[in-house]
Amino acid sequence: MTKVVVVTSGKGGVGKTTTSASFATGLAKRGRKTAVIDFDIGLRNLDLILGCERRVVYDFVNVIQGDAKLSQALVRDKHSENLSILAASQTKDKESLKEDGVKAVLDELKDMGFEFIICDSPAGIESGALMALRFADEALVVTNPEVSAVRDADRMLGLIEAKSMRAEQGLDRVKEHLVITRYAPQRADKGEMLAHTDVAELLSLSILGLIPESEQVLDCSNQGLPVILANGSPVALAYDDMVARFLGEDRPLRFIQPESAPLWKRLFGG
Amino acid sequence: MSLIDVFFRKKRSAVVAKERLSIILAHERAQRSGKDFISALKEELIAVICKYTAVDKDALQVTLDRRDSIDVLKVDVVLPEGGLRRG
Repeated sequence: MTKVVVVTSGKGGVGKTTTSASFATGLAKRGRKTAVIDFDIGLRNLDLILGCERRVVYDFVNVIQGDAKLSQALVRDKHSENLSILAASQTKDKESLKEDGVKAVLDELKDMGFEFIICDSPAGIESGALMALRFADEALVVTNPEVSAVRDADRMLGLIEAKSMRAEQGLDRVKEHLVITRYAPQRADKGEMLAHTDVAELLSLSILGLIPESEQVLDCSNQGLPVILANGSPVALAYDDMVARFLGEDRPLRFIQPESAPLWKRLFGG
Repeated sequence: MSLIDVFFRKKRSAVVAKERLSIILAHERAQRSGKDFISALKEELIAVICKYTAVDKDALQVTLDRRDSIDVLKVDVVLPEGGLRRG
């Protein structure tokens, strides 16, 4: 049984593609046959984050329009053999994503035995974002602990509940999970940043992933390495926890406490 | 948070963020679910209450709050001096 999972946010720059890349890689590393699709037509980026940009020949829109077979367009990931990538088109416009075309590609991926299909949504609430969530069974809603990102995430939850196929057909609702990125526990502790518990409460979602702010993310994207593969780094551990929780493991949240500061700092701040 | 902050508590911005978000999210959720029924509900409540009592229209407040995952509908009625019954 294939699960279609959309990674979405509303707001741009909160870490959708970073999360999609690490989530898909994490599932594949655990032996799950996974495909990840870039729905950001015209602004292809997932291929860069996964380091496969030079091997993309055909893209999602080529397949939808019948210019290439799905098997020709899928790029096998170099880090994990269970992961395939379907890149977005860089030249076509967003309207190229027609619903029946998207459905046909998803159905073919299901027939090919993919266990998870991850749909990396573009920012915004236009057709590309709506197509990415249309056929979702589950959703990772990515946000920063920041007012505009949280508001947009809530807006996106509303769209999932209104525009997804599951909602329209009256099936079981799309299962929504919260992923908080760029979390800085020391700032939350000082009251300068919304705490993870506040974000979860505001959105009425439970936290699947709590990803700490880290320089590692940029360092990895520079190299085309999904950050979950940055062995031992807090971000990689946090993404690994996220994948484990998604697959049903019970992992307590970590990186929620600030690193303990020296006594004088605890007294006088700073 | 340092000990000094506890004694000289500044207005913490995360608290403000949470308050602002709770208000705007409740409002936007009400709008999109087509349940912007608060004003209609208020009108009808006023009509019913005024029918049976001498309550002043301004003495009635209807608010919708969201706490955790619970919606709280609050109706405040300030009763006039001399009781409920209309003369």
